[in-house]
Amino acid sequence: MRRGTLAVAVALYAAAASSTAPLTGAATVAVALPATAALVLATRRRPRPGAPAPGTDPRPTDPRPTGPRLRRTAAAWALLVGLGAAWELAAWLRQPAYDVAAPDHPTLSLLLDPVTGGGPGRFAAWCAWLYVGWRVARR
Amino acid sequence: MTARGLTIAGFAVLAIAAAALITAGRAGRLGLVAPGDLLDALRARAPARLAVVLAWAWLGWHLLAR
Repeated sequence: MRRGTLAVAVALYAAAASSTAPLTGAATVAVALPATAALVLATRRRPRPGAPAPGTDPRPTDPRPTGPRLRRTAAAWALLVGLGAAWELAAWLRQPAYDVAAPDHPTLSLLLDPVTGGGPGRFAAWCAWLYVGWRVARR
Repeated sequence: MTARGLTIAGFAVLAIAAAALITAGRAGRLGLVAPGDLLDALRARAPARLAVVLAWAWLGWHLLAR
C-alpha cells in the first residue's frame, strides 16, 4: 500500500474511532476490528519469495542486522518491557479494586487518560496505535 | 517523595530508558540495532510475530477502549 493511501486510511479510521468514548462497546469494536485484521495477517503471513527461512543465515546482500547486536537489542528491550509490566502490575495491584483507580498508585492508563480520553490527544493516540499495528502486521 | 510521585518517577525512568534505547539503536551505538530492525527480525518468526501483535492489540484495548 502506498504511504499516502495508508496515511489517509489511518487518519480516517482514527478520526472515526477517536470519536468513540472510552469504556463503551463502540470503542471496543473500534479496537477489535484492526486487532482482528492484524491477528489474521500475522497468522497467515508467508515468507516473501526468495527470503531466507527463519533461523537460517540471510543472503549475503541482506543489509538487516543479525547476531550479537540483534540479541543484545532484544535482551535490552525485553528487560525494559518486563520492568514496565512489573511496575504497571505493582501499581494495579495497589488499587482498592480491579476497576477502581488509586490516585496514589496510578497505572499508565490512568496517567495517560487526560491524553487518550478525548480530543486531539485521543486522535493522535489512535493514529500512533494504528501505524504501529500496520508496521507489525504488514507483509 | 509521595507514593504517587514515586510511581510516576518509575514510569518516567522507563520512558527515558526507552528513548535512550531508541536513540542508541538508531545511531548504532552501544552495540544496539534500531527498533525497526528488531521488529523486522521478530516479524520473521511466526510465534514472535503473533506475540508482538497480541501485545499491540492489548495495548490498544487497554489505552483506547477501556
